[in-house]
Amino acid sequence: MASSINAVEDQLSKTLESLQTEEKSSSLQEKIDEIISSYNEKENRKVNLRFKAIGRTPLLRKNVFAINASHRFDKVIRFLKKELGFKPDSSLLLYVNYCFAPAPDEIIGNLYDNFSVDGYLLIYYCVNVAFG
Amino acid sequence: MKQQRDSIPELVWNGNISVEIHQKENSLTYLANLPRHSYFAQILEDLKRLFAPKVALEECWLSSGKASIKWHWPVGVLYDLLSQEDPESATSVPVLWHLVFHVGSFPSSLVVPMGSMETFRTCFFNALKESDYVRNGSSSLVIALSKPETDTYWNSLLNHDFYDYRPIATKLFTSKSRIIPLKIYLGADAPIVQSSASLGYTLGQVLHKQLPRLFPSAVMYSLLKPVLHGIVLPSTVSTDIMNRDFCYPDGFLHIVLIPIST
Repeated sequence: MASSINAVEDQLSKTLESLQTEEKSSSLQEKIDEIISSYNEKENRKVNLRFKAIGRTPLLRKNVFAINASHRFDKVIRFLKKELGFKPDSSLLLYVNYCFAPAPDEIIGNLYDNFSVDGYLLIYYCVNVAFG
Repeated sequence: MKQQRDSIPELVWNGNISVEIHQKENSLTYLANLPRHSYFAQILEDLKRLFAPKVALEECWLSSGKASIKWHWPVGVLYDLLSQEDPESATSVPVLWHLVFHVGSFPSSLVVPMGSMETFRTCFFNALKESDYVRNGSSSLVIALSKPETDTYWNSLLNHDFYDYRPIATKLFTSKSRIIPLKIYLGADAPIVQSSASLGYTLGQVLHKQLPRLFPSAVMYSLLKPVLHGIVLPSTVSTDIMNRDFCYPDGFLHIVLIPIST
Protein backbone atom coordinates (compact mmCIF):
# COMPACT_ATOMS: atom_id res chain seq x y z
CA MET A 1 0.00 0.00 0.00
CA ALA A 2 2.77 2.39 0.97
CA SER A 3 4.53 1.76 -2.32
CA SER A 4 1.52 2.73 -4.42
CA ILE A 5 1.09 5.94 -2.45
CA ASN A 6 4.76 6.68 -2.98
CA ALA A 7 4.27 6.17 -6.70
CA VAL A 8 1.43 8.67 -6.63
CA GLU A 9 3.57 11.09 -4.71
CA ASP A 10 6.44 10.79 -7.17
CA GLN A 11 4.16 11.82 -9.95
CA LEU A 12 2.76 14.61 -7.84
CA SER A 13 6.20 15.95 -7.03
CA LYS A 14 6.95 16.27 -10.74
CA THR A 15 3.69 18.11 -11.29
CA LEU A 16 4.39 20.39 -8.38
CA GLU A 17 7.94 21.14 -9.54
CA SER A 18 6.79 22.09 -13.02
CA LEU A 19 4.12 24.26 -11.44
CA GLN A 20 6.63 26.04 -9.30
CA THR A 21 9.01 26.76 -12.16
CA GLU A 22 6.38 27.80 -14.67
CA GLU A 23 4.09 29.85 -12.50
CA LYS A 24 5.74 31.23 -9.47
CA SER A 25 2.72 33.35 -8.73
CA SER A 26 0.17 30.54 -8.85
CA SER A 27 -2.08 30.65 -5.85
CA LEU A 28 -2.20 27.96 -3.21
CA GLN A 29 -5.60 26.82 -4.44
CA GLU A 30 -4.30 26.26 -7.97
CA LYS A 31 -1.42 24.28 -6.57
CA ILE A 32 -3.76 22.11 -4.55
CA ASP A 33 -6.10 21.57 -7.52
CA GLU A 34 -3.17 20.53 -9.68
CA ILE A 35 -1.94 17.98 -7.14
CA ILE A 36 -5.42 16.59 -6.66
CA SER A 37 -6.12 16.27 -10.38
CA SER A 38 -2.97 14.19 -10.78
CA TYR A 39 -4.42 11.84 -8.17
CA ASN A 40 -7.36 11.23 -10.47
CA GLU A 41 -5.04 10.48 -13.38
CA LYS A 42 -3.02 8.09 -11.26
CA GLU A 43 -6.11 5.96 -10.71
CA ASN A 44 -5.95 4.81 -14.33
CA ARG A 45 -4.03 1.75 -13.16
CA LYS A 46 -5.58 -1.72 -13.26
CA VAL A 47 -5.85 -3.95 -10.21
CA ASN A 48 -6.49 -7.70 -9.96
CA LEU A 49 -9.58 -9.24 -8.47
CA ARG A 50 -9.99 -12.89 -7.56
CA PHE A 51 -13.49 -14.31 -7.07
CA LYS A 52 -14.51 -17.26 -4.92
CA ALA A 53 -18.00 -18.72 -4.65
CA ILE A 54 -19.50 -19.48 -1.24
CA GLY A 55 -21.92 -22.38 -0.83
CA ARG A 56 -24.07 -23.36 -3.79
CA THR A 57 -23.50 -20.20 -5.79
CA PRO A 58 -22.59 -20.92 -9.44
CA LEU A 59 -18.89 -20.95 -10.28
CA LEU A 60 -17.16 -18.72 -12.81
CA ARG A 61 -15.24 -20.23 -15.71
CA LYS A 62 -12.44 -17.82 -15.01
CA ASN A 63 -12.02 -16.33 -11.55
CA VAL A 64 -9.29 -13.71 -11.97
CA PHE A 65 -10.00 -10.35 -13.58
CA ALA A 66 -8.23 -7.01 -13.90
CA ILE A 67 -10.31 -3.87 -13.43
CA ASN A 68 -9.71 -0.13 -13.53
CA ALA A 69 -8.88 1.11 -10.01
CA SER A 70 -10.98 4.26 -10.33
CA HIS A 71 -14.27 2.38 -10.69
CA ARG A 72 -16.76 2.17 -7.89
CA PHE A 73 -17.42 -1.19 -6.28
CA ASP A 74 -20.93 -1.46 -7.80
CA LYS A 75 -19.19 -1.94 -11.14
CA VAL A 76 -17.83 -5.23 -9.77
CA ILE A 77 -21.30 -6.28 -8.63
CA ARG A 78 -22.79 -5.56 -12.07
CA PHE A 79 -19.89 -7.26 -13.81
CA LEU A 80 -20.17 -10.41 -11.72
CA LYS A 81 -23.94 -10.66 -12.25
CA LYS A 82 -23.36 -10.46 -15.98
CA GLU A 83 -20.63 -13.10 -15.89
CA LEU A 84 -22.90 -15.44 -13.94
CA GLY A 85 -25.86 -14.78 -16.24
CA PHE A 86 -27.91 -13.22 -13.41
CA LYS A 87 -30.49 -10.49 -13.94
CA PRO A 88 -29.32 -6.99 -12.91
CA ASP A 89 -31.87 -6.82 -10.08
CA SER A 90 -31.14 -10.30 -8.70
CA SER A 91 -29.58 -10.74 -5.28
CA LEU A 92 -25.84 -11.27 -5.15
CA LEU A 93 -23.68 -10.51 -2.13
CA LEU A 94 -19.98 -9.77 -2.32
CA TYR A 95 -17.60 -9.89 0.63
CA VAL A 96 -14.01 -8.74 0.67
CA ASN A 97 -11.75 -11.33 2.33
CA TYR A 98 -14.81 -13.23 3.58
CA CYS A 99 -15.40 -10.38 6.06
CA PHE A 100 -17.32 -7.34 4.94
CA ALA A 101 -19.42 -6.10 2.05
CA PRO A 102 -18.06 -2.75 0.78
CA ALA A 103 -20.56 0.03 0.08
CA PRO A 104 -21.38 0.16 -3.67
CA ASP A 105 -19.71 3.57 -4.00
CA GLU A 106 -16.35 2.64 -2.48
CA ILE A 107 -13.46 3.02 -4.89
CA ILE A 108 -11.87 -0.23 -6.02
CA GLY A 109 -8.35 1.23 -5.84
CA ASN A 110 -8.83 2.04 -2.14
CA LEU A 111 -10.14 -1.44 -1.38
CA TYR A 112 -7.22 -2.97 -3.26
CA ASP A 113 -4.63 -0.80 -1.48
CA ASN A 114 -6.01 -1.65 1.95
CA PHE A 115 -7.20 -5.23 1.66
CA SER A 116 -5.44 -7.05 -1.18
CA VAL A 117 -3.61 -10.27 -0.41
CA ASP A 118 -0.64 -11.35 -2.59
CA GLY A 119 -1.58 -8.91 -5.34
CA TYR A 120 -5.27 -9.80 -5.51
CA LEU A 121 -8.37 -8.34 -3.95
CA LEU A 122 -10.23 -11.46 -2.81
CA ILE A 123 -13.98 -11.28 -3.30
CA TYR A 124 -16.28 -14.01 -2.02
CA TYR A 125 -19.73 -14.08 -3.53
CA CYS A 126 -23.00 -15.78 -2.71
CA VAL A 127 -26.69 -15.55 -3.47
CA ASN A 128 -27.92 -15.59 0.13
CA VAL A 129 -26.56 -13.80 3.18
CA ALA A 130 -23.59 -15.89 4.31
CA PHE A 131 -23.15 -14.43 7.76
CA GLY A 132 -24.55 -11.61 9.87
CA MET B 1 -17.83 15.91 38.39
CA LYS B 2 -18.99 18.23 35.64
CA GLN B 3 -15.52 18.17 34.12
CA GLN B 4 -15.47 14.41 34.11
CA ARG B 5 -18.87 14.15 32.50
CA ASP B 6 -18.01 16.53 29.73
CA SER B 7 -15.26 14.29 28.45
CA ILE B 8 -13.92 14.92 24.97
CA PRO B 9 -15.62 11.88 23.37
CA GLU B 10 -18.92 13.07 24.82
CA LEU B 11 -18.41 16.64 23.61
CA VAL B 12 -17.59 15.28 20.15
CA TRP B 13 -20.62 12.97 20.31
CA ASN B 14 -22.86 15.93 21.14
CA GLY B 15 -21.65 18.08 18.26
CA ASN B 16 -24.58 18.81 15.98
CA ILE B 17 -25.55 20.74 12.90
CA SER B 18 -28.75 22.68 12.29
CA VAL B 19 -30.34 21.77 9.00
CA GLU B 20 -33.22 23.23 7.03
CA ILE B 21 -34.66 20.97 4.35
CA HIS B 22 -37.25 21.97 1.82
CA GLN B 23 -38.67 20.66 -1.41
CA LYS B 24 -39.11 22.70 -4.59
CA GLU B 25 -42.59 24.17 -4.86
CA ASN B 26 -43.56 22.94 -1.43
CA SER B 27 -44.25 25.34 1.42
CA LEU B 28 -43.29 22.79 4.09
CA THR B 29 -39.90 23.01 5.76
CA TYR B 30 -38.12 20.42 7.88
CA LEU B 31 -35.89 21.82 10.61
CA ALA B 32 -33.68 19.73 12.89
CA ASN B 33 -30.47 19.62 14.84
CA LEU B 34 -28.68 16.56 13.51
CA PRO B 35 -25.85 15.02 15.51
CA ARG B 36 -22.58 15.00 13.55
CA HIS B 37 -22.38 11.29 14.32
CA SER B 38 -25.78 10.55 12.78
CA TYR B 39 -26.70 9.79 9.17
CA PHE B 40 -29.20 11.30 6.75
CA ALA B 41 -30.48 7.73 6.38
CA GLN B 42 -32.03 8.19 9.82
CA ILE B 43 -34.30 11.03 8.69
CA LEU B 44 -34.94 10.10 5.06
CA GLU B 45 -38.10 8.17 5.93
CA ASP B 46 -39.43 11.10 7.98
CA LEU B 47 -38.70 13.45 5.10
CA LYS B 48 -40.49 11.17 2.67
CA ARG B 49 -43.50 11.03 5.00
CA LEU B 50 -43.56 14.82 5.19
CA PHE B 51 -42.89 15.75 1.57
CA ALA B 52 -43.91 12.77 -0.57
CA PRO B 53 -45.79 10.12 1.41
CA LYS B 54 -46.80 8.10 -1.65
CA VAL B 55 -43.46 7.51 -3.35
CA ALA B 56 -40.93 4.75 -2.71
CA LEU B 57 -38.03 5.57 -0.38
CA GLU B 58 -35.62 4.48 -3.12
CA GLU B 59 -36.62 7.46 -5.24
CA CYS B 60 -35.88 10.01 -2.50
CA TRP B 61 -32.61 11.87 -2.21
CA LEU B 62 -31.12 15.07 -0.86
CA SER B 63 -28.82 17.69 -2.26
CA SER B 64 -26.75 20.55 -0.91
CA GLY B 65 -25.87 23.06 -3.59
CA LYS B 66 -24.71 21.01 -6.56
CA ALA B 67 -23.69 18.02 -4.45
CA SER B 68 -25.95 15.07 -3.83
CA ILE B 69 -25.97 13.74 -0.28
CA LYS B 70 -24.76 10.25 0.57
CA TRP B 71 -27.17 8.96 3.22
CA HIS B 72 -24.61 6.41 4.42
CA TRP B 73 -21.88 8.94 5.26
CA PRO B 74 -21.91 10.60 8.68
CA VAL B 75 -23.59 14.03 8.72
CA GLY B 76 -20.46 15.64 10.21
CA VAL B 77 -18.23 14.34 7.42
CA LEU B 78 -20.64 15.61 4.75
CA TYR B 79 -20.89 19.02 6.37
CA ASP B 80 -17.12 19.47 6.78
CA LEU B 81 -16.56 18.25 3.21
CA LEU B 82 -19.31 20.15 1.39
CA SER B 83 -19.17 23.40 3.34
CA GLN B 84 -15.34 23.53 3.19
CA GLU B 85 -15.77 25.82 6.16
CA ASP B 86 -12.66 26.81 8.02
CA PRO B 87 -13.44 26.36 11.74
CA GLU B 88 -10.59 28.72 12.58
CA SER B 89 -11.76 31.60 10.44
CA ALA B 90 -13.08 34.56 12.35
CA THR B 91 -16.10 34.91 10.12
CA SER B 92 -17.45 31.46 10.83
CA VAL B 93 -20.71 31.75 12.73
CA PRO B 94 -23.33 29.15 13.62
CA VAL B 95 -25.02 28.29 10.37
CA LEU B 96 -28.19 26.74 9.12
CA TRP B 97 -27.36 24.14 6.49
CA HIS B 98 -29.83 24.34 3.60
CA LEU B 99 -30.66 21.10 1.84
CA VAL B 100 -33.16 20.20 -0.84
CA PHE B 101 -35.32 17.08 -0.89
CA HIS B 102 -35.89 15.46 -4.30
CA VAL B 103 -38.09 12.72 -5.68
CA GLY B 104 -37.15 11.01 -8.94
CA SER B 105 -34.35 11.80 -11.45
CA PHE B 106 -32.23 9.79 -9.06
CA PRO B 107 -28.49 10.57 -9.44
CA SER B 108 -27.56 6.88 -9.49
CA SER B 109 -24.01 7.55 -10.66
CA LEU B 110 -23.39 9.55 -7.48
CA VAL B 111 -25.61 8.11 -4.74
CA VAL B 112 -26.80 4.64 -3.84
CA PRO B 113 -30.56 4.41 -3.37
CA MET B 114 -31.74 3.59 0.13
CA GLY B 115 -34.30 0.77 0.10
CA SER B 116 -35.20 0.76 3.78
CA MET B 117 -33.71 1.15 7.24
CA GLU B 118 -32.50 -2.43 6.83
CA THR B 119 -30.38 -1.31 3.84
CA PHE B 120 -28.82 1.31 6.07
CA ARG B 121 -28.28 -1.09 8.97
CA THR B 122 -26.50 -3.60 6.70
CA CYS B 123 -24.42 -0.81 5.20
CA PHE B 124 -23.47 0.62 8.60
CA PHE B 125 -22.38 -2.69 10.09
CA ASN B 126 -20.38 -3.53 6.97
CA ALA B 127 -18.51 -0.24 7.30
CA LEU B 128 -17.87 -1.14 10.94
CA LYS B 129 -16.56 -4.56 9.88
CA GLU B 130 -14.34 -2.89 7.31
CA SER B 131 -12.75 -0.65 9.95
CA ASP B 132 -12.44 -3.67 12.27
CA TYR B 133 -10.63 -5.51 9.48
CA VAL B 134 -8.09 -2.68 9.21
CA ARG B 135 -7.49 -2.74 12.97
CA ASN B 136 -7.37 -6.50 13.51
CA GLY B 137 -6.90 -8.24 10.17
CA SER B 138 -10.39 -9.70 10.42
CA SER B 139 -13.86 -8.52 11.42
CA SER B 140 -13.82 -10.74 14.49
CA LEU B 141 -14.52 -8.05 17.12
CA VAL B 142 -17.70 -6.93 15.37
CA ILE B 143 -18.79 -10.50 14.69
CA ALA B 144 -18.06 -11.42 18.32
CA LEU B 145 -20.51 -8.80 19.62
CA SER B 146 -23.54 -10.47 21.16
CA LYS B 147 -26.97 -9.84 19.66
CA PRO B 148 -27.93 -7.50 22.56
CA GLU B 149 -24.64 -5.60 22.17
CA THR B 150 -25.16 -5.22 18.42
CA ASP B 151 -28.71 -3.98 18.99
CA THR B 152 -27.58 -1.62 21.76
CA TYR B 153 -24.90 -0.16 19.49
CA TRP B 154 -27.36 0.29 16.64
CA ASN B 155 -29.99 1.84 18.92
CA SER B 156 -27.43 4.15 20.53
CA LEU B 157 -26.90 5.59 17.07
CA LEU B 158 -30.63 5.90 16.36
CA ASN B 159 -31.43 7.33 19.81
CA HIS B 160 -28.21 9.33 20.09
CA ASP B 161 -27.39 7.77 23.47
CA PHE B 162 -23.76 8.32 24.44
CA TYR B 163 -23.86 6.08 27.51
CA ASP B 164 -25.07 3.10 25.49
CA TYR B 165 -22.66 3.91 22.66
CA ARG B 166 -19.39 4.56 24.42
CA PRO B 167 -18.67 1.21 26.19
CA ILE B 168 -19.15 -0.78 22.98
CA ALA B 169 -17.24 1.75 20.87
CA THR B 170 -14.34 1.60 23.35
CA LYS B 171 -14.36 -2.18 23.20
CA LEU B 172 -14.25 -2.15 19.39
CA PHE B 173 -11.81 0.70 18.74
CA THR B 174 -9.31 0.48 21.57
CA SER B 175 -8.40 -3.16 21.34
CA LYS B 176 -4.88 -4.57 21.29
CA SER B 177 -4.56 -3.34 17.73
CA ARG B 178 -1.91 -0.73 16.91
CA ILE B 179 -3.44 0.23 13.53
CA ILE B 180 -6.15 2.80 12.93
CA PRO B 181 -8.29 3.14 9.77
CA LEU B 182 -8.31 6.50 8.00
CA LYS B 183 -10.34 8.01 5.22
CA ILE B 184 -8.83 11.28 4.05
CA TYR B 185 -11.08 13.46 1.89
CA LEU B 186 -8.96 15.65 -0.38
CA GLY B 187 -11.88 17.93 -1.31
CA ALA B 188 -15.55 17.97 -2.25
CA ASP B 189 -14.96 16.73 -5.80
CA ALA B 190 -11.60 15.11 -5.13
CA PRO B 191 -10.69 11.50 -4.39
CA ILE B 192 -10.72 9.89 -0.97
CA VAL B 193 -7.45 8.41 0.18
CA GLN B 194 -8.25 5.40 2.32
CA SER B 195 -5.35 4.27 4.38
CA SER B 196 -4.19 3.28 7.83
CA ALA B 197 -1.74 4.58 10.41
CA SER B 198 0.01 3.17 13.46
CA LEU B 199 -0.42 4.34 17.00
CA GLY B 200 2.46 6.29 18.49
CA TYR B 201 2.74 8.94 15.77
CA THR B 202 1.50 12.50 15.47
CA LEU B 203 -1.12 13.46 12.89
CA GLY B 204 1.49 15.68 11.21
CA GLN B 205 3.78 12.69 10.76
CA VAL B 206 0.94 10.58 9.35
CA LEU B 207 -0.18 13.21 6.83
CA HIS B 208 3.42 13.93 5.80
CA LYS B 209 4.05 10.23 5.24
CA GLN B 210 0.79 9.58 3.34
CA LEU B 211 0.67 12.79 1.30
CA PRO B 212 4.14 14.40 1.36
CA ARG B 213 3.38 16.88 -1.43
CA LEU B 214 0.24 18.18 0.23
CA PHE B 215 1.96 18.08 3.63
CA PRO B 216 5.64 18.92 3.00
CA SER B 217 6.24 19.29 6.73
CA ALA B 218 5.26 16.98 9.58
CA VAL B 219 5.09 19.91 11.99
CA MET B 220 3.30 22.65 10.13
CA TYR B 221 0.44 22.83 7.60
CA SER B 222 1.23 24.84 4.47
CA LEU B 223 -1.40 24.02 1.81
CA LEU B 224 -4.21 22.14 3.51
CA LYS B 225 -5.29 21.47 7.07
CA PRO B 226 -7.18 18.52 8.52
CA VAL B 227 -10.69 18.95 9.90
CA LEU B 228 -12.38 16.32 12.04
CA HIS B 229 -15.76 16.90 13.72
CA GLY B 230 -15.56 20.56 12.74
CA ILE B 231 -12.24 20.98 14.57
CA VAL B 232 -8.89 21.78 12.98
CA LEU B 233 -6.61 19.18 14.48
CA PRO B 234 -3.13 20.33 15.44
CA SER B 235 -0.26 18.47 13.79
CA THR B 236 0.97 17.43 17.23
CA VAL B 237 -2.13 15.41 18.17
CA SER B 238 -1.21 11.74 18.53
CA THR B 239 -2.85 8.92 16.64
CA ASP B 240 -3.58 7.30 20.04
CA ILE B 241 -5.73 10.26 21.11
CA MET B 242 -7.40 10.44 17.72
CA ASN B 243 -8.32 6.78 17.93
CA ARG B 244 -9.55 7.07 21.50
CA ASP B 245 -11.57 10.26 21.20
CA PHE B 246 -12.33 11.03 17.57
CA CYS B 247 -13.55 7.90 15.76
CA TYR B 248 -16.90 8.03 14.05
CA PRO B 249 -19.36 5.23 15.00
CA ASP B 250 -18.33 3.24 11.91
CA GLY B 251 -14.83 3.01 13.40
CA PHE B 252 -13.11 5.21 10.84
CA LEU B 253 -11.37 8.53 11.31
CA HIS B 254 -12.88 10.59 8.51
CA ILE B 255 -10.48 13.49 7.97
CA VAL B 256 -11.52 16.29 5.63
CA LEU B 257 -8.76 18.47 4.19
CA ILE B 258 -9.55 22.11 3.62
CA PRO B 259 -7.35 24.77 2.00
CA ILE B 260 -5.54 27.14 4.30
CA SER B 261 -7.08 30.53 3.76
CA THR B 262 -4.57 33.19 2.81
